[in-house]
Order: sequence, then structure tokens, then C-alpha cells
Amino acid sequence: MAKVTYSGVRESKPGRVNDLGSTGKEVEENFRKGCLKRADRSFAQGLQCQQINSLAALMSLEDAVFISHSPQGCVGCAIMAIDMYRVGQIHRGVRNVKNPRLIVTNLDQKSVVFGGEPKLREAVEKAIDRYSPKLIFVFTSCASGIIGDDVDAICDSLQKDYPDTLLVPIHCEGFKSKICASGFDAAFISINKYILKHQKIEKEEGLINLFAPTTVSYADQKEMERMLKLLGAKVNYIPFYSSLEKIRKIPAAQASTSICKVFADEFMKTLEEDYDIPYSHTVMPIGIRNTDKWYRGIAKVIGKEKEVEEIIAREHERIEPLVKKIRDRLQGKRVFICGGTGRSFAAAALIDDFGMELIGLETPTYDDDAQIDIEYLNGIHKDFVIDIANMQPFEQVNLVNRLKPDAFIGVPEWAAKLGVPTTHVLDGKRPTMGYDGLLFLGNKIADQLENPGFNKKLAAHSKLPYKDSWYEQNPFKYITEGGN
Amino acid sequence: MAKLLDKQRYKCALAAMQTVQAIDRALPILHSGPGCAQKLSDTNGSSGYFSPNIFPCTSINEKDVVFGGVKKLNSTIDNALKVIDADLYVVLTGCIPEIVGDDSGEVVSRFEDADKPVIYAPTAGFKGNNYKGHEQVVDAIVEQYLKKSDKKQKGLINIWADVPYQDLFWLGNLRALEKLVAELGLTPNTIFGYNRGIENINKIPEAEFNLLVSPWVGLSNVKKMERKFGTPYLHYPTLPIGATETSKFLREVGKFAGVDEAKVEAVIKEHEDYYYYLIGRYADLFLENRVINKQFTVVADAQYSLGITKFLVNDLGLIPAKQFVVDDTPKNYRDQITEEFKKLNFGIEAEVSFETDGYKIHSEIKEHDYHGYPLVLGGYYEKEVTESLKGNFLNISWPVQDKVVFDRSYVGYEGGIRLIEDIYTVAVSRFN
Repeated sequence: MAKVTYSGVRESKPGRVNDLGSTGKEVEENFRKGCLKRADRSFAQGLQCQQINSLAALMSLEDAVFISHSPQGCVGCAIMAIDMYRVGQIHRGVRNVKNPRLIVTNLDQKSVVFGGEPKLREAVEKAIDRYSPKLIFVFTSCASGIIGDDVDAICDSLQKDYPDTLLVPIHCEGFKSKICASGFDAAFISINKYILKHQKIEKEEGLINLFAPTTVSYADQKEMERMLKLLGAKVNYIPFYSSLEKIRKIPAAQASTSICKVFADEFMKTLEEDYDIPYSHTVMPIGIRNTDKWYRGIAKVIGKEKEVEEIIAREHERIEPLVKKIRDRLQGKRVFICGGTGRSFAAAALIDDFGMELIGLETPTYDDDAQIDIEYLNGIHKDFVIDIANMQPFEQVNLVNRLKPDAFIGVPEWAAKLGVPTTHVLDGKRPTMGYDGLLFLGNKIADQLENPGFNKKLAAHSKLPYKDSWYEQNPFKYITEGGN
Repeated sequence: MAKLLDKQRYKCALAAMQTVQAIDRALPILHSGPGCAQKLSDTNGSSGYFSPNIFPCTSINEKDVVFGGVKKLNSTIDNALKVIDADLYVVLTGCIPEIVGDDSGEVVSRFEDADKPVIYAPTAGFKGNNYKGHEQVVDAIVEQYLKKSDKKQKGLINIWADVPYQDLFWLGNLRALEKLVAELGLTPNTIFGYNRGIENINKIPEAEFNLLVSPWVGLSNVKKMERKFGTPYLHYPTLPIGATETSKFLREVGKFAGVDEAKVEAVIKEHEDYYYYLIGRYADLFLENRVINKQFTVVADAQYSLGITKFLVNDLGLIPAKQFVVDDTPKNYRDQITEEFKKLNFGIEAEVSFETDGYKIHSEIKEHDYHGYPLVLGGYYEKEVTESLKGNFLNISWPVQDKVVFDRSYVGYEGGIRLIEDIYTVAVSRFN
């Protein structure tokens, strides 16, 4: 059978669903029977688009300039990237903290009619003239895609004029996918095509590629590196705060693993096919079960199964008494979770460490990978509602209002206005992962839930913007058949 | 329109969703790609009744690009009216529907008889920035919602200033302008922020005149209202910061509104007395040469670049280095604004550059001899360049990262004092 090249659009995978309301038990069964259908929403609130993820995945690479081939709004959120990049540099001890070098081609009415090629050429020329970067990433946008600019051809022709700077076009038009993680795939597809170029290089004994998305803190990076070093591995942490040189080293690795379920998962498959690098794709290492699972996954790939069991036993002995203290503070609380694919499932497993019970889960995508987690979660949590949604706060508040959880984990704004105590497992500045991260995170959650005062006051003095009638209706009312 | 943007200073016209958001109980409905609301949001006081993740959005996909997104827009508006409790629904269109040619105006017109008003503003990102988008939203309200009124309310003044959320201090500034106008015995009417909303929008056609406090943003709006409602306008181009400009502002507004001159002077005297009492107590700090140097640069939109330059020259006795206006001011307004920069006390003139390319701005700042460490007031991007010159930096324009602002203001006598506090707090906490 001919090999089908993956387009980078996550919807292209059969069986993947983005719009669904169900329960843990029902969704597991329906997926197994092949009964989940693609759907859409006839009413929805804004999403995150894949261009954000493509930009975020690479924004911390040194020696790079980022060109958004778009109108002026597509990098409107640049300040978040700037902040994240500056925080990351400061945590890593960088003295002269820099801003990311971000240029917008500023497609205008003329470009829409005549094409944006002159603007892109000018941007590339100026970027090289001003910053002499080793890399230029060109990110496409909805507008550049629809007007049909041939960004690959333009970059190809410019590449001949500028041999010292590598030009890497990335196809991340927002309208192509509802799953923002597609943007990660788009970035990796281009890294393989334009930087690694299917060239095999000499292997480096013990080297592991550790793929991590932007939201992973330096504290978490250090914990993951500590754990891998205990297995005798050397770590190539990419692409966050790395460089062209480190990216070029990817094919030298003995194995790959990722910190996030939807980051580099497709890329690691490609690395196995193109460069014979085996990989482990499991879960996000948050909580005891997930940390163990993640750790065993990569240990197995590098043949350290015996060693990892010894370390895990030692770590458990160290942290279990401390986890028990946290459990005493959190036991029995009923929890609603909303998050991205990696963190939502990780949080659902984490709360079991603390004796909490899952009653609702909102996560962006359902597929065979989610099925594995749901099978596990159905084993430990009796009965929970599942909303396959990218945010959609109107569905969330309807559910939270019905289920009345004791705690909410995720984007806290709306549950807080219903008076529910809220907390987070996403923290780009502090520890959340591995054995040490678990303790920090657990104590933070317990502290936060013990004083719900702020949320109660907020709820008493604010109203959510929905009509009262909405709370009486089926939360999944606007999920309709026939999405693409 | 500006060419490429290196260190971008604004967002696209669709970011006028923030202008809508600033109107109490007004809801933007986005007909756009999936990520637009998130990309165009800030975290500066944005989690109120409506926040960007709440905004209904058609999240146009590949199928809609090919077949048009009109049906989806129709169902989104229809259901937004059922699910979300708002007083005014404003449909904003992004790049995609305007490129593929969706007739969004026609879809919106189907909701003419809805319980609540639904209006529409074309805000494609490729057509302009959010300063223009802001004007489009105000235009949409004037054209599609408001009607001419035969009734005029004596002393009622509509006040218009710069762009909510793009201007971090928008709420405080508007409240400060209202207060100043009220002290002259007039009744201010604004539509943005707490407890204003649709009721104040309804009053717009009844006003005696429109007061526009901005170098250029909103000028086309007040002109339109003059044509449609017969409402005259006073265009005061300088944001009044500190005593010199605020007293001038009060005199001009008083004269235009026919307020008794003695009354105006009494208001001014009371404020100036207290203002100079405060200044006098800290005069030693300002008179010391070693605390800050005399030369400064502002990198901001026309509003702050002009307002702060006038304040620092006329009230604090500083000397302007080159000033930068970064809001892509339309060409037809530039000469007039350039002239304003020349109207400084003691014959001082400030050179101003209309520049959207941050790289060029930073190069010029680096090359200029400030006769010591510079004082730079600008966007967060200027932090890096000012630090490299060991200067004093204050983040006053977008993008903003190192500040939390609820309802503080730089407007008026009190606003001038707040700005001095902020500048000198930076200066005295450093060791240069």
C-alpha cells in the first residue's frame, strides 16, 4: 500500500471527533463499536486556531526570525508570546533578556487582489538585513491561504538568494482545522522537510529527544531531565529554548518521547519511519500513575525496564507519605475538569492520587488515544459526563451548574462566577510534573481549595452572561450532525 | 496603510470587538476564522460580563471557505439571541468572509425585528487596524441603530476619546474627562464602561455637541453625527495631562459650551492650587539634575505621544528628543498633528515621526544623544532597547505587560500627578 503523507490536519485521521456530549461509559462503548460520528455546532464560541500553536511551538528558538504572512491582527496576542519567552529566559538564567523577533507582512487590500508575494519578499529581505538569522519561519494565515499565495515557491526562490539563512514555510491556515494542535504538526512537518531533510546522521549513544510544548515550565523541564538522567540518558530538549543546532541533532537520538499527548506525537512516528528512532507516546507526566506510565514508557524503549522499576519504587517510597498528607486535605471532593488534551486527561488521573472523584470532563478531541485514557478513567471514576469541546464556556457553565462540583480544574473564570472553588494544573512558571511536581501541585491545589472566599464573593456579585432559560436546556443542544 | 510591521503596535480592525466589549451589555458576534477572538484579546481587565471566550464565533472552516459561511452566520446570530443575555449584538466580520464575499450585511438585516438590536460592522483585518475598527463600530451604531432626535437636552455633551483596551487607561481617562466636564456644570454622556451602555447610546442624538478628545481617532464619527443628527462638535486634539493642558482644555470647552468665564476660572484655580501644592512639596526631586535626565522620547499612539510630550515639556520642563507616533495615523491627519507638536511653551518644538516599524524606531533611539540616560515612555518592546541604554522606561502604550491598571487615569490635574508618580517611581528605584 502506498504511504499516505500526513497533511498536518488532525481531522484527516479517521475516527477523530471534536463535537460530542456523552458520558465516560457511553463514549467508550460507542467508540469501540465505531458509532461516534463527526459533528459540528450550530452555535459556538471562539476557539484557538492552529497558527497560534505553530508560532508558540517555535517562538523560543534562538537565532530565528518569525514572519507571519498575514494581516495585522494574526499576531495580536504577541505579548503573551513575548512574556512567555522572557520568563523562560529569566528562569534559564539569561542575562540580556531578548524579545522574540516577530515580523508581520501586513497583507492589505491590494495584496488580497494582487497577491502578497512582494510583501513576503520584502519581509524576508528585511529580516535578513536586520537580524542575520540562521532560521526564518514563515507562517501562513487564513488570508494568505485563501488568496492563494504560493509561500513554498516564494521561499524556495528566496532561499537561492540567501544561502546562509534557512527559510522554513509552515502551513498553518486557521480555517483548515478546528484542532489547534494541528499547528504543532504543521511546524514539525516543515522542520522535517526543510531542516532535517531525511538525512540520517551518526547516532549518539544514550541521546533522547524530549519534545515539550511552550506551556511546560523550566522547573518541569529540569524534573523530566532529572528522571531521564537517572536512566543514564542524555537529553535533547526541543524545540523550546533550543537552537538550529539542537534541532539538527534530532536524528542522532536513540529514542524519542514527548511530555504532551498532542505535541510531536505525529512527528515521533515520522522520526521512526525516516530515521529509525523508536519512541514512547504515553501520557503527560502529572500525578503518580501518569508519571509512572510515562517513565516506564521511555525506559522500555531504551531497554531500562529493570532500572526504572527500582527508581519508581524508590520515588514512591519517598513521596507517598507526602501525597497522603495532601490526600487528607482533598479526599472525597467531586471535580469537574476542563483543559487541553494532555492536561485534561492528566488532571483526571491526578485527582485519583488525592482521593477526589471525577464528575465531568471537558476535552477538545476524542480519538483512539483518548479511548485508552477513558477506559482507564472508567475503571477508577464511577460516572462522569464528557463534553468534547474546545472551550465552549456556555456548555461548560450549563454542566457545572447542573453537576455542582466541589472543585473545578481548568480555565477558572466561569466556574468561579458560579461560586465553585477553582484551581489549575497548567503552570508555565512552576512545577506540575514528575514526582516532585506532584507534591508542589498537590499542595497548591489544596491551599487554593481550602479558601473559596474569593470565588464565593465573586459569584455573589456577578452574573454570567447567559439567559436563565439556557441553564434548563440540554447542554449539548447545539451539537449537530454533519461536520467536516 | 503601513508596510511590514516589526514589533507591532496595534491589532486589526476586528479587534474592535474590544470596543464593543467596552459597552456595557453589548456583545460582539464574530464571523471569522476560529482563532480570531483569542488572538485579539488582552488580559488587561477583560474578564467581565463578556469576555473574548464568550463571544459567539462562526469559526469558519474549509467547507465554509468554499461554499460561503452565510448559513452558519445566520444560525450563530439566531442562537446567540436565544442563549446570551445582551442589550446590543454587534456582528463583526473578519478577513475570510470579506475575501470569499459573504453578504454578511444581508444576513444581519434578517434580524431587524429581533427583540434586541443586531447591527453589523465590516472589520476585515486586511482593511485596517483597530483604530479604524473602533471608528467602524461607532459608525455602525450611528448609522444602523440611532435616529435623529428633535429633542435636544441642554448641557448634554457626548464625550469621545481613544480606543478602549488598546488604551490601557481608557476607563479612568473617560471617567476623568466626564468629571472635568461635569465641574463646568455640563452633563457628560459617554457610552463605554460601567453603567453607561445602551441608555447612554440612546441619548447620543439629544446632545448639544460632541466633544472629541483625540488627535484623530473618532473625527470621522463626529463628522458623521454632525451630518446625521445636526450635532456640532468640538475637536480637542490633545489629551489633557497635567495643569497646563487641562486648564487650557477647560477654557476651550467652557467657551464652546457658553459657560460663564468666571465659573471656569474658579474651577481651574481650585485645581491648580492643589496641583501646585503637591508639585511644590516634591520640587526638590524635580529640581535635582541627578534623578532623571532632561531628554525623553515617547513611542505611542498619537494620543499619548502628543499628550505626554506637551505635559513633560510644559509642566515638568523636560526637552523632547524625537517622538514617535505608531498608530498608522491616516496621511490626511499627519500635518495637523505635526503642527500640534510644535505648539510647546518657550518656542520649543518637538520633532515627530509617524513610524510603524519598530526596528527603525529602536535604531533611532540608539543613535540619538540624550546627553545621558534616556527617559522612554512606550510599549513593552521599548523595555529591551531602554535597558540596553540603561535608561528609565515606563510602559504606557500597547503592548502592555508590566502593569495592572483598573481605573487609573493620566487625564486632568490628578492624572498628571499620577504620571509624575509613575515616572519618578521608576527613576528612584534605579541606581543610575
